Amino acid sequence: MRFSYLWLKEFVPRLPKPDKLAELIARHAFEVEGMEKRGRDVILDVAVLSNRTPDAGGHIGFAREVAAITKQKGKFPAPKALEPSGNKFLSVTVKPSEAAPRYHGALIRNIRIQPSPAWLRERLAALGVHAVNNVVDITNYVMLESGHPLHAFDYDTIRGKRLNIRLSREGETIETLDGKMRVLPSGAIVASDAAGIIDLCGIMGGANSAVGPKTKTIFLQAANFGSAHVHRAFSRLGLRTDAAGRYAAGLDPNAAGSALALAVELLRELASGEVAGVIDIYPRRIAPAVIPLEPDAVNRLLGTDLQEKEMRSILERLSFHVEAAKGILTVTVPTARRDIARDVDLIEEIGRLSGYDAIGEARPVGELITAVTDTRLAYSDRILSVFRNAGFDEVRTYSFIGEKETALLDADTRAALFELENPQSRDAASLRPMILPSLFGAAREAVKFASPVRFCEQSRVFRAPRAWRDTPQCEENRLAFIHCDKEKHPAHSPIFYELKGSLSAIAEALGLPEFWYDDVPASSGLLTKGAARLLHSYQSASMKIGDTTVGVFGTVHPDIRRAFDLPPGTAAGELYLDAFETELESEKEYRAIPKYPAILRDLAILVPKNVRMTDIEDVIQNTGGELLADVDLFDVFEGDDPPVGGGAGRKSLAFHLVFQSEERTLMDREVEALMKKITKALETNPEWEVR
Amino acid sequence: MESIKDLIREARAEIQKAPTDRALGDTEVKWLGRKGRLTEILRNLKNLSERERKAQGAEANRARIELEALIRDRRIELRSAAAKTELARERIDVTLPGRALRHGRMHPLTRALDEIRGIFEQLGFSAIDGPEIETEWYNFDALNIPADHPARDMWDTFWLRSNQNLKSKNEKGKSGQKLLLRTHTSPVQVRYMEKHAPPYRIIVPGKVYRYEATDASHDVEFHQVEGLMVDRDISVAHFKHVIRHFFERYFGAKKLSVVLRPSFFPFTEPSFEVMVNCIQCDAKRCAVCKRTGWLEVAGAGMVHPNVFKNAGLNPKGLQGFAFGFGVERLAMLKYKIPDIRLFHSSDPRFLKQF
Repeated sequence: MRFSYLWLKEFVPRLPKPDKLAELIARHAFEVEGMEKRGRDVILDVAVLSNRTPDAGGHIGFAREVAAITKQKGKFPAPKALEPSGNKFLSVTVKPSEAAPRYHGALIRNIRIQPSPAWLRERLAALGVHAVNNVVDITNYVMLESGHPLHAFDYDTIRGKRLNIRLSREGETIETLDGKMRVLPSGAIVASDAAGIIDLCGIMGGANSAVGPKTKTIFLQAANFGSAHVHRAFSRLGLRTDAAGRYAAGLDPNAAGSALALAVELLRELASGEVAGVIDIYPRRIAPAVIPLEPDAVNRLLGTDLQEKEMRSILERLSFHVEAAKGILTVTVPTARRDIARDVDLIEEIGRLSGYDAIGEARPVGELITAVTDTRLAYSDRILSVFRNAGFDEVRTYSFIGEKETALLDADTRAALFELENPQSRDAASLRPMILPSLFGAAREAVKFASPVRFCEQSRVFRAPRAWRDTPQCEENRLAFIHCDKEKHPAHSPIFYELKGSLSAIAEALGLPEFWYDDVPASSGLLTKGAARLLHSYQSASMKIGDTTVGVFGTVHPDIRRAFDLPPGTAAGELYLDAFETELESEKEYRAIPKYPAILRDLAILVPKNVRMTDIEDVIQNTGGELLADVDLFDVFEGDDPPVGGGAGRKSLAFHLVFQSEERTLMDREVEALMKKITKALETNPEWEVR
Repeated sequence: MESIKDLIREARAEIQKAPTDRALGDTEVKWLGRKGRLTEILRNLKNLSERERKAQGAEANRARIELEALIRDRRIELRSAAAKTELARERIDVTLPGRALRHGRMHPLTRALDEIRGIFEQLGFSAIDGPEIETEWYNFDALNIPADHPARDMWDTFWLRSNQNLKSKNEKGKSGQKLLLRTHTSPVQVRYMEKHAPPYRIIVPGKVYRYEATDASHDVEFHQVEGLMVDRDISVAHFKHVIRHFFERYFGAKKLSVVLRPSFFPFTEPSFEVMVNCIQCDAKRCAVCKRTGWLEVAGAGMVHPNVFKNAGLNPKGLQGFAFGFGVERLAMLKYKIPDIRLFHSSDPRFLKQF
């Protein structure tokens, strides 16, 4: 809000220099966003706090605040309120009554419309208001002076000489003063005469009742309109006028009286207007609040050592009335201070006027509490750091996704999608149910500058459950990762294994002995939470801890890869962090280091290509028994030929087998016997051949 | 017969001249070997008279010890020279790059969050997590921000379309509550107070969302850290101490001026804007502080009694402070990052800097 230094000086004669004034205002009341010299005047641009608009939104109120800050009395206009006359000129109804807690106005005759005098036009211009004619200018001037909006109707255009203040029905229309036709939502406050709506109350007047060059008689309205209604209406209409902002802040109904009186005085002076009647519908008069305040509570909250006397003097500077009895201050607050409702509000006034800078620091003294970090935050951090150690750069992408990403989702996931009611663009219309698609976008940008690219991101994903009690159930903690290498092609050196190697190292670093890989189940929808669709059907795996699926990863599906413009050598996956929580807490325990030497044996086997390594390993493990301490694959060879018996080709796998006992040194012949047993077990399958 | 003295002189010269370890070996054999010249003398001692044997024997033995020592020293000398040559042959270019070991980078925002959490944890503040999707109740009403009140306009909100699945009632039994993306981390204050008894000493790091136009200092998605300290007598004076301590630690400044300016938040009373003296220009007035010498770094205040009440607590005898700040803003100040949108960048040239 803009304030004229010279205008303020009319009310507070010993006003400090503008610079000093700005500093004092900033320290004790509001942020001063700018100062602009304008002729002899200086215009201050002040961010009046939204709860102070009612009392400090006009020059008089603002000057009162300045007077309190600078410890001056000030001289403020106290116009005599207009007494309601026997009302015969206009029949007014207000329904519902909260639409206008007070409806006040005056009929003024003999108006002579003409341009305003130079001083008035200049003052308006300095504060950014265009001059129109004396009547309109006076309403604007008085709003800037008192902080209270006024509206002048051309009385002769009011049909039937009645005004109904009511709420709009959806779809009703009004042409506002700016010449625009507006379709109203329901619940806006309107004034309608015998034939229709003539005012969008508290926001903007109607074109059909506007004051013009030929206006002779005006009805000057100084009403108090329901703040919530005005707020809702201007938000829906996108029409936040100066008046609307003030009404929405919740003006003091009592301020309407002095605003009307100030305007009437000016109209008499500058437009030869004579008051011919006054309306005042004000069924529930607002009385000043009376608030008890304990001086001890003030010092306890502020951490100060203020005397009761100082507190009183501050409150009195703010024109509050204070009475002290039995150690309690009873404070009567002017109705203009709509922001003051209870003791803590008074404590704020004492705190800011005595100055927050004057409050000394104190070390808090309290129970010794151990800081306990939320486990969810702690384990996310730990997993992220292990991923970083494995060479993944951390990125952060937006939580919003658009059509390109949602098109990738399966029907279940799409049905559970959270969509924005007010998206900023179609590319950011929903909340992501998985991180991967966003990571594809990030990797595409990054491979332009570097290869390989390894990214990881930890974030919430969103999914509406079928039944829920509270919003945390709509969220899940995930960690997505991608490995993208322009040099690698999946057919030659599967990028899958590169990523898998990292994941195994990560699982080991996290201390997850039960971690293993499994095929992605054919009907994978819920288990892999839709991510499997993005991956190569024959180059993807799920990650498990015991029976729990904790993630899925694999080579990115060629279609998806092409859609996102990623190189062939791209593998990616997601971990479901919430499933890890309990696993990461298990304690480590020492196991004895073997005392007796181990015996190593190698075993090579020729099997059909479609046989999985684990199938062979399982047979070896199960046959080897307790003495077989470890099985390690060290070579795989897939020759292009020879195809055996016209079937698919065969491949050769070679394992190191480690035999060891915890109790004694093993004998060669024991191991020989075990090797024979294993070979026999493997060759039960006629297509398997141990070499 | 040659005198032992002459013999030694000759042997000594030969040892010193031996050019290699191998030549030295030959010399050793020549003098001290089984048929060596000195060995010969020692062996012939038995042919001498007892008196002579005694004299010559002692002398010859001393000579043997001396030669052995000379050979040992010469050997060490020769070997270390050889080793030196050998190592010299293995000289490499140490300025060639090492074998690449990829180590991922921590995102600057994670770095800032870590530092912030670390400082507060040392002060006994526990870090707490909360949902990003919120109800109107937790995001606004519970924080004393009524519907249809201009105070709500301080938080431009992304609203969620009501989903089939979300028709059921929420915890508060308020059906039809609208869902939104939290505009601040403050709702977690209420959620935490509902489930825990005072005293409170927590921070809440987390992602928040605002419906606003993006520019170098505004993004639709950013992070906040909320703080809450409540006990029977936690005051503004305590807040000033804690917050100055935090900012001094965070910015690594020995002495930072922190001032409070009046502000308005519905959930605190009194409310403050927290300003610190500009860390970039040291009050010499730069662009970062818009030539004011001061930076706005946080919003704060004393918890409003209505917030305690809305969390199901009796506000009587409870008081304390709450504060909140933007993590990106603090990271931008500390690492001199000029544009908030860079935090969402995947450009390796940005990420590799941290």
